[in-house]
Amino acid sequence: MSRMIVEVNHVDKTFHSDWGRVEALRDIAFGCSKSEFISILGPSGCGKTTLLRIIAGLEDPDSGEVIFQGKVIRGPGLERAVVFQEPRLFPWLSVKENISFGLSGKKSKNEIDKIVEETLDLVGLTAFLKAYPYELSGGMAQRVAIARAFAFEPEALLLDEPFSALDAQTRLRLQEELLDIWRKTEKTIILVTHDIEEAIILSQRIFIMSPSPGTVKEILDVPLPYPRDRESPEFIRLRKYIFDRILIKT
Amino acid sequence: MPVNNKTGEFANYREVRNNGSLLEAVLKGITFPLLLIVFWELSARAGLVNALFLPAPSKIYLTLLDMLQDGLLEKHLFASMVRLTYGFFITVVIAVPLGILVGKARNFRFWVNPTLSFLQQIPPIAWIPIFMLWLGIEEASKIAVIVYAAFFPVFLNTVQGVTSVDPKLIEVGRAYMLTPLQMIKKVYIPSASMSIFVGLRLGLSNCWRALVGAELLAASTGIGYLIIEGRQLLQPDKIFVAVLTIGVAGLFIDICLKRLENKLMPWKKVYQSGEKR
Repeated sequence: MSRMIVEVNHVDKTFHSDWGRVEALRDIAFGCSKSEFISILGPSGCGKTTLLRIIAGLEDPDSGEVIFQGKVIRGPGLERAVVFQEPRLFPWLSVKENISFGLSGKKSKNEIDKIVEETLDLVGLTAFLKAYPYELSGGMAQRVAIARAFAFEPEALLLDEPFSALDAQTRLRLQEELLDIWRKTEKTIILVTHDIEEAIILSQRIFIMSPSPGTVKEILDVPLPYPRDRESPEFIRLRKYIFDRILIKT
Repeated sequence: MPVNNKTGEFANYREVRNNGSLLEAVLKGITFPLLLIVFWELSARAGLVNALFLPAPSKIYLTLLDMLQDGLLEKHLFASMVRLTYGFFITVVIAVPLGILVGKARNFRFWVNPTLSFLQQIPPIAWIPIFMLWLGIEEASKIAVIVYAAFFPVFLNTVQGVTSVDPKLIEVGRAYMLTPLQMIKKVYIPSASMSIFVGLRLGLSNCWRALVGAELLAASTGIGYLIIEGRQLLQPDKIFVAVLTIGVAGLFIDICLKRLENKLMPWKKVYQSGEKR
């Protein structure tokens, strides 16, 4: 457990609003090693998105800290790319421009062209280089968002329920593609999800969270080999176990 | 990658919208004016109206041809257009950057809004005498009126556009480490461009009105002057030519801007109808 790329040290976060205070995270502590694929699993409102946003640097913890590659996180960084629940593409930019957005000025034109080509190839959308977001389906738009995240050549990918807004078939396909990309690129991936099957299919470890206050209830290894079979007895047993763990209020 | 229906998924909205309905729209839109002109011409020929007050459309048309032949109409129209261009250009240079600034610095609004709301109530033409006193009777005072007239729609729409940028897109900009300047250039301005364009169109139409007003009061060239001359020489046909030219030119300018808007923002239509992603 020494070569950790992400270390979350006793992070607390409470939100104050007109309706009262919500303790989103209490004493969260875990680590994630390089090239690992982990899932943060829990029902909505358990603070999992907040946790991801803190790792992304979009939100500050009230106390505690997140260490990334040995440095304490203070704000967003290009080494940690975020994919949000919605694609959040810029409607006025073409697919190519959306992906290279933010790269211009940092890289040469040739390099950018190469990166765009590679990342689009990664998500299987090479034909849509010049399309605008309104011309894409939801699944395609989300793939472009993933390509955009990869274009920055981040160390870690932070995914906030990236497939939850998609239909079932598209979701399955994108999960497969994500696994593929992960094995090709060996990036560290932290996935936030409420979908138990998604967590088991994709990740090596699952962090089960429980709400109010948001805490990590259990860390679970998934010892199954890839690609995983949803029908296998181990898979079904694991799913049942997690399901029960989430339901029981302890 | 198992993507087999690539072309099927690629819904091209640009082709779907308005197929061939343009002709229909033009026909519908032109019916009422045509009927009016026919009715007008018939009543003029029947001697129902005094030609001194209301010349027949055919007479107006002949005067129009005459004025085009002398180059009279072109000369005055050109003079007005030059003023419009200067005035509008100055407005854009002042109002858009100011609008972006005010829209971004949220607190600044509280300092300037009351003043602006007050100034907005005053019709530009009311300022003409004082502008003339300050800037003389030449071009400067007219351009000042135009700038005043166009400033508010352009400025207010820019502010509106900048303040209503989707916070989710701003967050993307943050996550991908844009500098404040890049943020304005890459997120705020494109996002506000739709609203800015609405302001530009409103502003231009305001410009046009204010300009004609200014020319009516004091000018030796321009479409407004042409109207005054027509009155002084008791040539109502000339007045009508000038008035109709104002309408046609205004319409033409607006259509050009609309075209430009669609060209610059092909994504606009779908984005507006709520399909934003």
